[in-house]
Amino acid sequence: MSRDPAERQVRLGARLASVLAALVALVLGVAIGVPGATLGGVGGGVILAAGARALVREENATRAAGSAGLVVGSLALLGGIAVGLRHSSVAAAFVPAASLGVAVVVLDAFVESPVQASPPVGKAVKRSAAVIVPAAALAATWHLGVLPTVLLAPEAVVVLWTSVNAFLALVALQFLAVVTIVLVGEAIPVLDRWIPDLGEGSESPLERFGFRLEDVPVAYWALLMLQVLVLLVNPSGSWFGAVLGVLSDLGTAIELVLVYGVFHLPLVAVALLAVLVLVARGFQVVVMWWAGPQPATALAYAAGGAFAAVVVTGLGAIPPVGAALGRWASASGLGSLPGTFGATAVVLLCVVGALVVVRTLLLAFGAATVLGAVPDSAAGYAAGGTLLFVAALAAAVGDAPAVVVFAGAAGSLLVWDLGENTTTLREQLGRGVDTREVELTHAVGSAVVGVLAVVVATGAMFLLGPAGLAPPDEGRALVALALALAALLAFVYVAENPLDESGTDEG
Amino acid sequence: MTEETRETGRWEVGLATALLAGGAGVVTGNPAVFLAATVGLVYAVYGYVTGPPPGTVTVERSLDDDSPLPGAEVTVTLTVTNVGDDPLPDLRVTDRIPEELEVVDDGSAFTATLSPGESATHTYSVRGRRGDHAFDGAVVVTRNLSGGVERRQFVRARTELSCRSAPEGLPLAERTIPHTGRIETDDGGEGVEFYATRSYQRGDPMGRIDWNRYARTGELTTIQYREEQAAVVVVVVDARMEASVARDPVEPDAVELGAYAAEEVVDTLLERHNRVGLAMYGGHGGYLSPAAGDPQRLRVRQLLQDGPGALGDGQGDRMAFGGRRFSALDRRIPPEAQVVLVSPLLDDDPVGLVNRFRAHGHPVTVVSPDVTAGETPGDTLARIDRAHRVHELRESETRVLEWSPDEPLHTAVARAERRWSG
Repeated sequence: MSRDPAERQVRLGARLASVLAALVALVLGVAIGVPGATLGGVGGGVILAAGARALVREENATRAAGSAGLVVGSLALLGGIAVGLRHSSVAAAFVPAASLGVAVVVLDAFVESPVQASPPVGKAVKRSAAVIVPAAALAATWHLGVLPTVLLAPEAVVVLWTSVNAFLALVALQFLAVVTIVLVGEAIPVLDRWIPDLGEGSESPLERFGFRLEDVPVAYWALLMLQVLVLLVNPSGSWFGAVLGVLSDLGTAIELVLVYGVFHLPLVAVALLAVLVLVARGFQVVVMWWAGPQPATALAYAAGGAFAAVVVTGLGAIPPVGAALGRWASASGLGSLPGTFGATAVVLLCVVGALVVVRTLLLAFGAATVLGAVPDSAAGYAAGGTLLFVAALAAAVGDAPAVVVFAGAAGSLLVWDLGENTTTLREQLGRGVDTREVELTHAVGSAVVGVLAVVVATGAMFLLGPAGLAPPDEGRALVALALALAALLAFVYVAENPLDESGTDEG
Repeated sequence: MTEETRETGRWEVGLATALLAGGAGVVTGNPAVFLAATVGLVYAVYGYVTGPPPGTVTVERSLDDDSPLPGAEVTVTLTVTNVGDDPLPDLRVTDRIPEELEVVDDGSAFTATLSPGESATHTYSVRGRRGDHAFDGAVVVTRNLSGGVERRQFVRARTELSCRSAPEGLPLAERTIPHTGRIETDDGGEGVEFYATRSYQRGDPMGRIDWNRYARTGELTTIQYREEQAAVVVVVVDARMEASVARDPVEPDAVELGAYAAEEVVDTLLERHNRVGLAMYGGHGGYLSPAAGDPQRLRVRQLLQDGPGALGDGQGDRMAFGGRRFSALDRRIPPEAQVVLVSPLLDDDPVGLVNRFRAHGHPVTVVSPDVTAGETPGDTLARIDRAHRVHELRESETRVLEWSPDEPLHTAVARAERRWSG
């Protein structure tokens, strides 16, 4: 989507429709007393649509911003809806209808075809989830305290062993050396690959220091096996103690060196380093597999997930905020989960959930378009207008002032009218044509009719008001209903069979 | 004028929402919900009562230049006027552009809201392509204020655009035959450009006596005009393997470019009533004797496109050794003919050919497509060698027209003319 001024001109109707949709939703929200939830939902919908617009563009910087917008917008939208659902039955119907209505209208205004936004949004959700889920797993692991135990375990084992006896320490030292050699042997080729090539044919700098297990003479293996046997026969190591005793002071020194792990600890350190290298390599392989052939694009799509992971983890690390998050998560019906796995992990999984829900909604919308439930052209405006109309009716049930309800209903029709008009203009004439004058003329006509409709409906309300207060009379109500239906059917008949002479003629 | 009126049915939405609200109102027993149906009904009535838009528009089109050079931009101004008594709230106009023309900026579509008698003007540009083109009219779509009825009509407005200028006169050396043609000579005679006056001689046509002078001085003098005479020209196209070099693998090579240039040159010379022949130097050979008129234009095209096999009997022949022998060329080219050699000048053979033509009394003009634009050291060397050859030819007073395939041939001709006249 280019940013030339001409295109901005053609979007006038789309912008009017978007602003009007947000306004209708907010006014109705205030009227039924859920301004916060409505604001959250509507704001989320707008941010979500803006994110989708950025994702559709073919630049990684905007894709990254779009991914972040998608995450923030999804959270705000579903957060607002969640608050609405818990507020009252009217708000439970109103907030979702109003928020989703605004979201699809703005989406159509921004992306032209909401269905077109589905694939890039899907990619962003997939990539972001692939970042958030491991982050949540790490956070949960940290919360459960598994990580420090794993890291400290080898040293603890060494300390335990060396404290037993000198012979056990000696055998342990040899096994440690073997394990270290194996690990270093595996780590060296990896390091080799990371160090820049010195040119073809040149010897790798690390290859020279390599010492492979095959270089160890067979006799040594036999000796090691013998030591293990001796250890099994004499676990207390008293035989070895006796040998050391023969050596007098030297023996005492050797025993001290063995028991205090003077050689063990450096070997453990080297082995750990090698393990680190291998883990890093594993991580690298996983990241390369994840990033695919276009790492920059993958990163751009994942930016939202990374942003969420960093922000939530950062907030969770601040004790009061973390505690507040935990309380909020528990209060939101997640029960003991935050307590068990930590607030950070649970909130991160909620983010993934929100993304998946938004993706599913978009897919459902696409399916509705394909199945013909929503018209192909101006689908977002049609769906958004309908949802806003439903929201206006819900607001009426929620005892919103009648004038506001009628204005909301007129506004929802106007949203569809403006959007559909601008879409047909674009389809007929293409982009880049200045259509402001025509769109404004049309908008003024429709707005005047809307005001008239509100006046007529409000007048009818005042006339009907006293009748509404009369005690219910079943017979009268049925007659009124029958008359109303007859009037509607007559109107439909007249509308379907127009009296004028319009048709096709050649001249 | 073709016209079609249709109802868009867009305000049926009003009925649908009215039914929805009415139904919901009955179910919930809420008067506000029920009466929200009124809003939908009012919109439905709005769509129903606004009548079809009047189809009273006229379209006029003007061009800033109706005979541009190929490739030149032409500004098209489209004026739509509401000649009826009712306003037109929503007018969508798309000019129908001939398929061969390319729109340069802003599309041909625009919208307007017109009061009775008001006009709207839209300007856009197209790029001319060789040939005659006709704009036949514009598609005008009018909608009423509610958008409920749409009238689509095709309003005729014919405008013609002729884009056929060939390279403006390849200037040839002054060697002509005594037929009236378009090569200007320094001989006074029949023509249109004033050349000189001389004393009246018996037998001079009456129309060429300078009567003004006679009235002023009493002397009888005859006006001589610069004589324009026909020339015999043989265009020789360098089609050897050595010349089939392209700047880029996707671009046409110098032989194809040469064939294009030769065709253009032949067209221009034939248009000016010259007798033109064609010889292929290398490739499959082929020689076409000089002749005038449209059939010759066709034969030249056939020889260039399909080779010498396409020529009928008596019009020309194949030449031995693919026309690479000078003797074969020299035997065929009439002594009074001048030669236009089309060659990329990538080796020394064409220079030798030019020198021999000159030695045998044929004035030579060289048209040289430049294909030495690469960046490799080899390309640079080829460029230097070619520049040297061009210089050598110009030293020997041969006219060389250098043509880069990036520019239209006529631009190169205009530049060469300035050089030759300056």
